[in-house]
Amino acid sequence: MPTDEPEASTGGGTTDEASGKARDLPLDEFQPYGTLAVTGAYFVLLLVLYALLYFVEFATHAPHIIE
Amino acid sequence: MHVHRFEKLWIGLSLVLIAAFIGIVLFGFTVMDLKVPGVETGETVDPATVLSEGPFAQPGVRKISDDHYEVYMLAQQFLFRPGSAQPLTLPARTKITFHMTSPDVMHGFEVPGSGLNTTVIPGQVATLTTRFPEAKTYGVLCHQYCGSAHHNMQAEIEVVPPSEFDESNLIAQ
Ligand SMILES: [Cu+2]
Repeated sequence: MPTDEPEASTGGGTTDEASGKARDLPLDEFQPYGTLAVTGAYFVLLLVLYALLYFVEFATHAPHIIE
Repeated sequence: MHVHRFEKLWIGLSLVLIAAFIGIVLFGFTVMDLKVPGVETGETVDPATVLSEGPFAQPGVRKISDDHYEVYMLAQQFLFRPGSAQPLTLPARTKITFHMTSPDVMHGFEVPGSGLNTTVIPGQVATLTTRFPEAKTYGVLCHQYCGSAHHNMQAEIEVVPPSEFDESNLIAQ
């Protein structure tokens, strides 16, 4: 049965029962590469869209303001 | 305070991103020599009398030289004068200076898909100078909400080859 799932994972584990904490992890050993990848991709996207908006949509469509 | 090295990295990247945005704009205004619309400094008009006094009492096209015309245009609820009642005709590849003001509320002037875009503010004269590169019809929209018929506020600029430009409709200087 699907409802057995949560109970099975907590009940049968060897983790600390009181806090549910698996182990202590020093800050520098925590390496969220997934978050880094998503943040990096978002920054690249922002830069590309900004450049497109500025150079293609704003700056290249004649007529322009010349004075 | 201890900051995780990933956090240091994306704080640094954020600063790089901001520097890039500013750098792109500076590049545009130096290397690419882009311009923005201006306000005629010190030149204000009284919205209450602008329809009866000064150049805006006779909106239209004036000739400065063979290569330079100027347009005095009113943006008002809910039309552009000239341009809305019938298309404003201008010569292609010729220097055109627009002077625009409003006798009522704030309006916008935009030629969609181009770099021509300004706000038109009562009491101020917005100016911009351009050359229309080709002979074709350009649309004009008001992009500042100005009242109940704002969505109908539009005009047309009919750009013709300079040889076909009819100077009989010009307003005498
Ligand atoms: Cu409007």
